[in-house]
Amino acid sequence: MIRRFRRCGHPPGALAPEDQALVDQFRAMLAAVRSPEPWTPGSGQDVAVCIGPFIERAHPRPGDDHGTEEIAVALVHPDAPDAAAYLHGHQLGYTDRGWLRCETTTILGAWQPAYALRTHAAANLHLPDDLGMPPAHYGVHLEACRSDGTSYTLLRLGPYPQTRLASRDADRLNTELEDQAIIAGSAFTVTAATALFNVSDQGNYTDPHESDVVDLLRRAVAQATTT
Amino acid sequence: MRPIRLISFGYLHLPTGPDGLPIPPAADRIEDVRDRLRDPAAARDILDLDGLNPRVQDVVLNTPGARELLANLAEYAGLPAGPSRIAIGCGGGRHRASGLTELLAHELRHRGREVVIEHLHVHLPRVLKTPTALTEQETAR
Repeated sequence: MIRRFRRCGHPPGALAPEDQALVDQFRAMLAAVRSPEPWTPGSGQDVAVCIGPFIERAHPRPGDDHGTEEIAVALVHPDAPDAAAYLHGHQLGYTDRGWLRCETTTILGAWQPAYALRTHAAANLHLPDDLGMPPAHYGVHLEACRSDGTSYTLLRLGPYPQTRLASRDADRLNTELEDQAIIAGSAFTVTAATALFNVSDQGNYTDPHESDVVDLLRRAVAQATTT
Repeated sequence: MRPIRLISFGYLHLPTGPDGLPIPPAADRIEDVRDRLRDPAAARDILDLDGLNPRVQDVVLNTPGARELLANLAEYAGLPAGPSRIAIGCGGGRHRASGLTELLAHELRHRGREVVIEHLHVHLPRVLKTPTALTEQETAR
């Protein structure tokens, strides 16, 4: 007996409007992936970033989006700033990642709404723990070196949302440390260096905002000398 | 009366025009609170919250000048030839602007007005504003 089956892709009659809308949306997504709009650094435009098979919307950090190899971005729910997207973004982990380091090679182009179909939000999936994008916060570590060659971290400053701010404070501290007045009487030497801000260890950091970092250093040295 | 749309935004996140200046959202009145309201940076316990949180709204409301500004905006919204859009901007759009927008919406609803709220940048992490001269750093919200 010969059974004749209808081909699923060619049902009789026209597509239902909602099915047609989905097909159009899918075609628009394919077209956007094939012909991405170029992204201009410094323009304030959101970018489309490839994360595995997904494409996510990312907002470049103001003033930190000019890097040729890496920029800092925050992942954004594709429907932001809708009120529903605010809640959905919280639920799926879009809003608690902070600023992330994004390799420019993963940037597809300027964000287009057509990409929304390829996001975790469209699939109602939580963002994975490992996005391949480490945090973009920075810190300044002050390393104390004892006369016997052993060393320890005297003070951790952070977070610094921009590398140049961390570098500026590190340079200032090293300049102050050069004349040795701050560490006179102590049995160690101190150097300041920029480092990645370890979010999981943030209780060990001193927030440098609205504080004089040299004062913070003086206090840390005095405390270390008396203990 | 037609509904009024209240928009909060952060100047730091706005796209810039050819002149390099930020392009604020279209509105009948744009209220720049960067200088009018003190940055609530001292209230460290609200840094990770945003203006939709009552604690942040409380801090914003108790900032010097906030109550007067709120009353002024509410009066403006109720003018006979009333505006259809009011935009409020601060540094990052996360605390002052969004908190004040929520407070204004609450006040207008209390007066019987239908309100639509749009927070353009409340979902973004906080960002440091670096003045051009790099002479000081300010936590911008």
